[in-house]
Amino acid sequence: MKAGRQPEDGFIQKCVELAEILVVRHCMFVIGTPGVAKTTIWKNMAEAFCSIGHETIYDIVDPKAVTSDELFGCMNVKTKEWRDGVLSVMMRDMNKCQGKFKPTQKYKWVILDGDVDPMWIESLNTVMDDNKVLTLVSQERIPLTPSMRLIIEVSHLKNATPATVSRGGVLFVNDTDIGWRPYMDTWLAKYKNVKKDETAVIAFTLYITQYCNEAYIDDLMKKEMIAPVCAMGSFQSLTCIIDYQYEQLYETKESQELIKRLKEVPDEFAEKLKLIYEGFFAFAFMWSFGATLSEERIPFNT
Amino acid sequence: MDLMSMNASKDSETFKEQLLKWQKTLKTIDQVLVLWVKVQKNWMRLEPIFLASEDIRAQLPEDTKRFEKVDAEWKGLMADASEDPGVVAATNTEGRDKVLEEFISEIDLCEKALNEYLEQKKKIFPRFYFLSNQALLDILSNGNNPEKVNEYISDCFDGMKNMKFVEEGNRPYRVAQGMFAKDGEYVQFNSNFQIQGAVENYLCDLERKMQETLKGIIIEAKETTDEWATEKPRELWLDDYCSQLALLATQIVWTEETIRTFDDLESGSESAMKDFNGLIVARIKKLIERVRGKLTVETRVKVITIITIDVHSRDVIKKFVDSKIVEQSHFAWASQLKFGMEKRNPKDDIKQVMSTICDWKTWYNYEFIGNTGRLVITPLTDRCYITLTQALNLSMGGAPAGPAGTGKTETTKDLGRALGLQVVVFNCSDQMNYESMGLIFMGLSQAGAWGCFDEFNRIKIEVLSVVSQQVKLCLDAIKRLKPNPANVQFQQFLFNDELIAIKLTAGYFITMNPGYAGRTELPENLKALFRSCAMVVPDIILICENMLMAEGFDQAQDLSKKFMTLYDLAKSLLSQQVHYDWGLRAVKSVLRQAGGLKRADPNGSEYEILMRALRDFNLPKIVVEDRKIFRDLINDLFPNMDPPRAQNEELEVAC
Repeated sequence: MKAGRQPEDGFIQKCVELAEILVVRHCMFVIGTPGVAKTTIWKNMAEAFCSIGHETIYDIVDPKAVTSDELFGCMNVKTKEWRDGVLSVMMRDMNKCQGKFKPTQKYKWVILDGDVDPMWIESLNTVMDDNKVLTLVSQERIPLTPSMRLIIEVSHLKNATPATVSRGGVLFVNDTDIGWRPYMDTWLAKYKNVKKDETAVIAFTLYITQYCNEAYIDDLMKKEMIAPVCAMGSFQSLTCIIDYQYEQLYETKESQELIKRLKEVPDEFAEKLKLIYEGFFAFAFMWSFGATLSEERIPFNT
Repeated sequence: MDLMSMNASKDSETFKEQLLKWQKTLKTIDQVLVLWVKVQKNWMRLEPIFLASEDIRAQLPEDTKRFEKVDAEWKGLMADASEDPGVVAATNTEGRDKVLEEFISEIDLCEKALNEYLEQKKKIFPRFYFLSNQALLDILSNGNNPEKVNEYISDCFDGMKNMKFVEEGNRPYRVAQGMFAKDGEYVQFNSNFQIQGAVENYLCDLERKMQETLKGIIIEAKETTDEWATEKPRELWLDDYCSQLALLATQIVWTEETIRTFDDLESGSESAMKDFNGLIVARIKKLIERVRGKLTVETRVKVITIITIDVHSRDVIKKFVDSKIVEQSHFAWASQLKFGMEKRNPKDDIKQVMSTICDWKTWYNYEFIGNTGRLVITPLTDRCYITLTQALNLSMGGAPAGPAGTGKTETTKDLGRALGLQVVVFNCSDQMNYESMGLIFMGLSQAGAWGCFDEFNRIKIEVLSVVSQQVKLCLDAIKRLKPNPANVQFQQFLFNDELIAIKLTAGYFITMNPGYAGRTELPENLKALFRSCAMVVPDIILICENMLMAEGFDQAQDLSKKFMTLYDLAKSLLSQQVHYDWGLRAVKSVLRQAGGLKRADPNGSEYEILMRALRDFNLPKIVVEDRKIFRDLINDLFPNMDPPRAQNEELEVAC
């Protein structure tokens, strides 16, 4: 477990499931609403494979950020000149082990991170089924080698035809499978291990257990919002705001003086500091979770 | 623009001269720059081809000279320009536009010659049509270096990966000994293959060599089948031959034995068919035993392939027994894909393989396909086979249509494989235009290969109407050639104003999903050229049973029933999610998983193994609300069972 992620059971289970699907399928979808750790799952799995000696390399594209021509390449009608596309270059390099790809790499993943749209995904049909070749308009045919896998990361498959859906394995990540708790744990661990501020850890742990119980958060999320947000997003802004305030506390002159003053009374210092942190938390909580509430701002305030 | 409006103003008289001068200069700059960029682009593309490749220089001496001249002048011009980098000076030199225009026409000539050269090569070795120009140039420019060409062999031949060379004297890579399939299977050539001459010629030789080698081996394989009952039982015999031919020989024997059994029936032996059925069942059992043992991946695939086809043979014979079919002329027998050995010409001394379905006959084509595994044959695939072959009989194309995951493309490919033909699959997209389609048709016709156009109705309607003309041309040519294959005049036809050759084996197939988003309706004139075949509901239960059996399960029949019940119930009882798919492809991947689990634990309960595969493979995609229902369903079908999840300790620790 690297990058300070939490070895939580639900997360590990999803990772292992991903690995199992990849054994029998060469193409798979990772589906889940934003913020359910889709990216983290496959990244973690790639690192895990590396750590047990199966070198893994991946390349990410957002297929909707470029046009279909740019993705697969196109033939200039007048000059008959072939212009390569992002994906065709990538697949060819993987196939021939050119550039950064080497034959020693046991797994080579193409990650397609972006909305599924028949415009581009249907052109991958022959790659995704048992033919395993990418056929391009230039008559070129790029076969998939046994080490290559296609992972498509997407929030839903509403726009995909059954032809697409049936071709890949599916890993569905539910909102509740992993949730926001591991994220908060990682965040707390940062205060513990990197910043070495025990007081902050104790204080924030207390506030999280006090204010962020699942039922309350769920309840909050059901309220009317002026813009759609997910719990994960709100937690991210919560931690960002606290991080910023925390840095300010130790950087600006005034606050440093304040701390100096507080330190003069060593007995009460920890308590006072906690009070400051509580202020941070309350402020951040208000501006993260409260930010998008529409009419319900008033009850939330209380 | 500004200059022009200035010019138009009435106060411009004082600067008139200056104005006109600048107007003219800027205009020239614009014109020259456009030309300049164009020359540069084309020069960049052609430079590595004409200057770096010895082979092409030798093949196109005149154009090389022409290009060298342009190259030298172009470099001089660039040097001039770099000395005085100002745009005005660089572009307004007297006659510069003339020079550049000349370059363009010269380079165009070179390019045209190059394209013609490629066309010519493609005609000699038609499989080059299925390569990109870039790869083709790479092959041609490395023609004298077979080691390099070897890397591209897999692009020209569907099943072959590369050749095995032997050292001979001081020139390595001149003599090849055998060929490797993509999956690693190795087949030795009947004699050493000498690489001589130009690349397109020796690739043609290689194609011939491949066919002759396989032709020789199948005769030997067929002869040794006599020893099945004596020294060499079948389950060991198959180790001696490559998967493709072991299977072919098995099918030839099955056809012969069935015909003999019919003869026996006629001459009064009533239990002949029943006995034959018993024999097949015993043979399959031996193979299944072998699959359970420790085998290399390669041999396992081979044995599984043969079991797959054997099970179908058994089903056919069982049907004969059950419905008391006694005549050879009965449709149930006539409609099967049968193989036999016959002499192609009465004068020939060796026999060749001939395949038959109903009144359609063709010679086996001996394309090396390697150890790829074959499809499970079900009544639906049988029907598709008949339709497709009858379409060929009538010189038409075939068009299996139906929803996703019913095996349209696979069935076409499988039929091609069964006949030893090269099948090229194209994924059609809306980017395809009539020119690229034209090239494909030229390639298919000349190579005598089958083309399978996947998702055909994604092509734009305006392209389709041209395509229908193209298909018609090809099919008409076949129609003319068919009654008199020896007639040289009919072996060529006019396509896109070019006379190209056609082989009788060429076939054109399109598969479609009617009614999906982004699909067009086919024009009527195109529809008339293809014989359609509906493939809607695949016989999943049969496929499932067959695959389980091939993976070594004893209780295949019962298990497959449970499997299908679960999927049927899941389809109707779980919530409707777009990403749920309970079709053929999903079934196959679970079966593959189950096969793996079975091998890991050969003595465990088969029910537990299948349940574990079903549960662990489907749960990842099931949404939270449905989890309980799915668990209940599975527990109802496999009562009192709760095998632990297959643990992958290493991975879990690594996470």
